[in-house]
Amino acid sequence: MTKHRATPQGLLALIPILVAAGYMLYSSEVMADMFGWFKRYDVHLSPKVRGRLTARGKPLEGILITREVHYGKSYIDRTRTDSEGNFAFPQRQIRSSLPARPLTEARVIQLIHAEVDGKSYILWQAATEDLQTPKAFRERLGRLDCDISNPDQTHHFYNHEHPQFEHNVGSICRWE
Amino acid sequence: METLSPSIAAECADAVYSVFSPDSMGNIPMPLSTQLERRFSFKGKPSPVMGETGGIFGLYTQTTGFAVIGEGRERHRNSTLIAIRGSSSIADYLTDFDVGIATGINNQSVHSGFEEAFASMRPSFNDRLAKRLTQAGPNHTVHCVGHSLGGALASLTADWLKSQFPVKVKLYTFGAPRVGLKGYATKNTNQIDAHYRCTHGADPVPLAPVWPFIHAPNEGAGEYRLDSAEGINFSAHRMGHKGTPGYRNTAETDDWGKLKRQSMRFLNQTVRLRYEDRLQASFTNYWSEKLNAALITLLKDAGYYSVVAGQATMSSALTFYDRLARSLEKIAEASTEFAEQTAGLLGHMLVFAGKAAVTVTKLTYQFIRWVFETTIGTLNRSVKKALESL
Repeated sequence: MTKHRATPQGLLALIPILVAAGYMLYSSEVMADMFGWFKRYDVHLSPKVRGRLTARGKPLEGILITREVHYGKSYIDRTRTDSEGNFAFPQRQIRSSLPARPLTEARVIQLIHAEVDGKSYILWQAATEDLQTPKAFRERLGRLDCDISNPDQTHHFYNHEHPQFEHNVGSICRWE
Repeated sequence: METLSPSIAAECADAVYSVFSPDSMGNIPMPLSTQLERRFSFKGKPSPVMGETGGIFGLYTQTTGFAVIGEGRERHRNSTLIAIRGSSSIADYLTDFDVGIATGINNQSVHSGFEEAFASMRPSFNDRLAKRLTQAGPNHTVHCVGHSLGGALASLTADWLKSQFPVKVKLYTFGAPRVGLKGYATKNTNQIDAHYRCTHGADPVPLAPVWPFIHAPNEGAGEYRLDSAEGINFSAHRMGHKGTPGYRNTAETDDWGKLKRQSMRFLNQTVRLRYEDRLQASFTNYWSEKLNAALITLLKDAGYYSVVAGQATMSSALTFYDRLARSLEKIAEASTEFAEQTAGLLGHMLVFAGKAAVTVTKLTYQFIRWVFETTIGTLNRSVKKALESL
């Protein structure tokens, strides 16, 4: 019986401490919120990526494809092509306080490359200041048609979000 | 001689922020727009120029991709482009009350932090450019571009190029801080073939570091003020198009002539401030320049200018302001007229720093020094906030 009673009493003794701790947490959160330190934003690092890797039209199997996204730090994913040369990466999104900092010159920098016989081919190389993946990127990253016999070139795409600037993307892939 | 348009210069200063580091394969992620790609090639450069920036207290040192070099192509083959980005890791250098003064190119006094950062990049620049620029004719133009601290480094790069190679050098800066003292600014103005110094009205960074540092060219004249804003707004320092207003947006034109040319020649003007008028001061670029001019006027009126200005080249900023406060105490003691002029200056400085409630009573060394510390402290905090997360 006494044992039974001791537990709630012990808990009761904890209450002021919990309240104090809660208050401290709450007030520091209020402070942080006031200065926007903890404010976090959704940052779209990459949409779903789907593509096919070929050499003069023939599918390349078992090739290592790497997706690197830099935004404050690096986020790296790897996959291999299947027997049809297909590969895919899931969408990648983070919560970040970087955009809340005053004047962050941060860019979402994305690189996708394939390594074939020790040689690197750039399938996608682009940077954006936007926190949401631009429409032009979303559309094209969903269908990367890459033949390693194509020369690497800079593609210029219409920028739906900011029409006064164009998107510049380095890639061996082609889109109609 | 070719000049980069405002829009191309802004693109370079912006794009270099995408070159934080090469990827694991050594690719530089910096695809360029049609207009820039037509003029310069960045191919064949395995990695960007690395710069070392260390905290002033030596707490950390990081090496990051800091600059890119482009070679002119086809009809632009007689030109070279160097774009340098800003960095938060040397924000401390800029806002340190005890700024050191170092001797740069042509024996001119420059900010020791900038000089150190530039010195770490110089060997890579030399390796990559020496051959190309030694062989280049006198019509070859090197365009140096940079935002923020990248602008300060671009200035030092421009001077160095001019002293090493027989080429033309053009400098384009966005929201750049002051790099050196009067001698440097004058020398820099004379040597560099063209200088486009772009600012926003509310960008706090061009206000730092405070006098005796001044802007080249022509002691602050020849500035391109790209908007009409006033006050201090951290977002006004941003390069990218998401800034308010964002240098990328305000420089989006093909013609320098279209951009408003601002010329604040306060430094050579006589400015005497009356204590009663102090509430007219505000925390703006305009008043920062005017306070500098008023300080110089007071020193000149009292015959102290050459002595004080001479001390600036010898010491660190901390000792400099200490001596300046001692000189002002002596000036105020000399006559009621000088005492009033000193009170006028200090009163305006306090209002500028948001301390309008403090009244100037005793013009002692301690009080004068405190006013300088407070004013510079306020300015530095706002600049630091603007820079810390670059």
